[in-house]
Amino acid sequence: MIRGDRAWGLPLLAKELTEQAVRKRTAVLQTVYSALLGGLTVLVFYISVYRDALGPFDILREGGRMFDLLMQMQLVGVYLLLPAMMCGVITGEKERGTLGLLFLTRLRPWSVILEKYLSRELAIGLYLLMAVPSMTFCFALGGLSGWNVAQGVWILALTALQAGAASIACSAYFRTTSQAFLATYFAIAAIHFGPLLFALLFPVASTIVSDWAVNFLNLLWNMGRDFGGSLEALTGWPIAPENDGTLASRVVPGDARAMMLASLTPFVFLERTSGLLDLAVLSLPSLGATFLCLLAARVCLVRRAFLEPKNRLLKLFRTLDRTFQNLNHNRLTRGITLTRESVRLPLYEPVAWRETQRKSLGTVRYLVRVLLVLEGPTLFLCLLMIIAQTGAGQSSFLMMLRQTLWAVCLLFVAVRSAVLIAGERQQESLDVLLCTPMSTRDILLEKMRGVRRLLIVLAIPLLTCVAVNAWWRTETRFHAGYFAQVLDPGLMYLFVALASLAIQLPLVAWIGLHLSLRIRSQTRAILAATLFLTLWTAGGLIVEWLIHGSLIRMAGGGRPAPSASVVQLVMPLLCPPLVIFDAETGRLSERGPIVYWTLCIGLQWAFLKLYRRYVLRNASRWLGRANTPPELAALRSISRETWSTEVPTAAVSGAPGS
Amino acid sequence: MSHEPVVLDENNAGEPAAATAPQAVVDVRDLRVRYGKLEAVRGISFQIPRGEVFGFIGPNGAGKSSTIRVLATLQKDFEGRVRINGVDVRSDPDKVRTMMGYMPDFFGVYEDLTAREYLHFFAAAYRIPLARRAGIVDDVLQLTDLTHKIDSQVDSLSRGMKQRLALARVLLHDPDLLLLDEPASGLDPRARIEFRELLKALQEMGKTILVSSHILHELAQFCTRIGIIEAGRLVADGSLSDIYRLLSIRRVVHVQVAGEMQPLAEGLRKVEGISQIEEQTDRLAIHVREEVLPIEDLHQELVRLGARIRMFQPEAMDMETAFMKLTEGVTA
Repeated sequence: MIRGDRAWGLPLLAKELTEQAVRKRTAVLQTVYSALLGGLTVLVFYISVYRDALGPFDILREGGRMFDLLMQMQLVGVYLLLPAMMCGVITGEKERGTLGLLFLTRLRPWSVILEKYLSRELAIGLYLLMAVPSMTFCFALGGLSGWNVAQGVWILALTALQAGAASIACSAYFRTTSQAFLATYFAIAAIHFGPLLFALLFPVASTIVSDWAVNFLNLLWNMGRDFGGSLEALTGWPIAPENDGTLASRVVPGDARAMMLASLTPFVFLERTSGLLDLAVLSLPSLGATFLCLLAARVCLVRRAFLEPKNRLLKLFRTLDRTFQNLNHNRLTRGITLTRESVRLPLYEPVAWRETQRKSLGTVRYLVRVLLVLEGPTLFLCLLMIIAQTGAGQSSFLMMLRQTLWAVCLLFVAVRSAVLIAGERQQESLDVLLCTPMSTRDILLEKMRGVRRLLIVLAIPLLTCVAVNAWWRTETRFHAGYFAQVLDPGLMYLFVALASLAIQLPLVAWIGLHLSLRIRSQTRAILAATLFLTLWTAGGLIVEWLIHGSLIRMAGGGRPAPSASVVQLVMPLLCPPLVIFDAETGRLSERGPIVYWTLCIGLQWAFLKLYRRYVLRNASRWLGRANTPPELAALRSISRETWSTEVPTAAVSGAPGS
Repeated sequence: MSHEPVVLDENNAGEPAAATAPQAVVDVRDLRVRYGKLEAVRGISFQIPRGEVFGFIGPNGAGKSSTIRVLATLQKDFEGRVRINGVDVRSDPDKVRTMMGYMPDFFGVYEDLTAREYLHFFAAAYRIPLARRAGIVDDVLQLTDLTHKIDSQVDSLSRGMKQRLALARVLLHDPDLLLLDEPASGLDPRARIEFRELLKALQEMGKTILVSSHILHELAQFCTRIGIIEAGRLVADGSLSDIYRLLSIRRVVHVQVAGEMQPLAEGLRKVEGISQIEEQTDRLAIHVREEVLPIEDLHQELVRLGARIRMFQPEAMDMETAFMKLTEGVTA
């Protein structure tokens, strides 16, 4: 081989880009994203600019407001899309077993990381470029300077770089895509809120660090100003700002520590900069965080390339098992056993038997442990709050507790039901099960038996919270002298919360099952269920906030326009998690009276029933399984008693058992 | 090579006679399976009479598994008519499921159960009466030589044992037809031999078996009929001897002689039954129509023409040769 005959180029980047380009879902996503962006641009223009305008000149100089809104949407898009796109870049190779093959090539670890990173950054760049027509439109409206646009683009770029780096670090660290996906959001939250938490927990240390950081940034800024001044004189570019003073005093007057703490998040302070130098210096913390994430990815890439699967949930349960057994062995209880696991063999409903007797999250003893883990702290905190009687503080704490519990329970149910069929598919036992004479409906209903048990267990701590909250509301209203008999918010809350428990947990379970039937891989099914739930909830809140807020603004004087009322009434039907949000934030009365909520709950219940029927009816089609016509199946259906004594199968001549 | 199937069984040539239809456990007519734009199976037809072991041979992606999945009621969308014991797969799949046992090319076992629990699970799924379940489970375990592993966790069993456990599961409801998709793949030689013996025992019990495999010489040992599928088309269907006979018609005999080959080749071209002669560097490759000119007669002809024969080698005909001759290595 000729020395120095190195192949220049970026083969991994080329391969990744080619793969993305040929995927059908890339085109679909891009189309949907651009359509969404275009639609929202039109909507924002119509609501915030056009409808208020009395003449053509009134719409001028409104571009700045529109641009800000578009920027916010783009930021949401980056945070939603990029982790999903980036978190699988390394874990995907690990799951396919191809990462080792990459190490055998001439590609260096840094090259692998950067090429993978670039491939997704370029893709997200394409999504951001889709906003160019909208931005041009805003610019044409006026009220927006070239500097504002440059600032906006730079903030978006920094956000994309940082979120992408956090994602690829998680991808290099974790073994599976689902773990990396979830961890990415925690990592991004840690980057944004970690410094603030650090300042709250360690005020002295954070002051020292922030002072040092601000001084360092000021030093850089002063150096840059001196250099930039001469460069500015030479080139005529606006490098240093016109007004004088240190960076901290101008950008965040009097709060240098806060500036340092929040400067990791690009969109917090960069908007306030007034010169290229400000922008450059204040971007350093964010870029530093990005570099550290990439460094972490590089360190983890080889060290954590070949990880053995660890069932952490099982490990956690075993640890809890040991703890509870130790606790149980005392003088009082003497190792008392409340429930014993059945050791019977399956009799009539084999799938239900396996789900409830052999699956960790279906057996009574594990569910009791889950219940104790959730109910114990919930009960303790609720009692503590009741005893403490801290008024508003109590209310907000309980609200946070309830919302967290709701989110955990819904996610738990979604993930559990998303693996029902996808799990069978992954362990290659689905075909064998589908070959039996069991109908698809029976298989699914029996599969859901384990989930039903879990729903009951998860409902108990939620019920505890709901009951305490309802009691507390009634008490405070009674003391405040309101008429609690007719439209008691406590009772209304109790009704809506209980109905939500009875409807939304099963609804999420059926949605999870639906995704499980449609999606082939278990990881993808979990991701899809989590993503769907997040988007459904967050999307509902955002859409309502955007549309409803704009409609009220448009009506002026804080009065809701008629169309705003319609949006307010319709949204809970389109996005059922909004009901929970309203109930837990005490906004039920704002939206409508108890009659409205009764109707809303009724419609949601009807939707649940219809959706369940739809899933059961179409399951065979989604599984690709041939189905016996319903009338023939009904004729042939035999009761449990009958088939326990008769032989409905083929003739048994020559049977091993005959 | 023509893609028209070479049907060697007179009973199955073209449209089967009405009299043979009721006897066929499997009756496939003009089966077509599409996955989007890809046509995986392109109109294949075959019948398997009761008690036969039908070997389904073909390269990867030929359409074997797709065909078997249709028979196993796992492929809803297909064209053509597929019947098992006279029952249409499309119109009454539940009944078909009670008549056949399907073993996919993977184990399909639940690792978290014991062998006993696994078999009882499927016994319940197949609605075997409670009173008979324990006896049947014991019998199938005995047949598959797994009695000593009855309370072992499935994930602790070797690959061969898992495969036998899967076969035990298939036998639980005593199906007429066994659909075995690549049953020997991934097994070591011992497990493979044991599995083969097990299939022979099932054959003796009168089961109708459709088995697909890549390992041709294994199929040759116990299959009574062979279907060769390529690119979604059945290129040959018949008994082994039929296929051999068919391919032997165009048998090639390699001959080395002392002296000039040219005059000998000229002489041979006048002999009836020789379709082609290839003059190679050190030999003649003589293509013989065996039904006209048996191999022994060709030897006599060579002697008659004065050839001093150094080598007389009819090309060996085995399953692999047949497969290579009948297929072109294309996929659907």
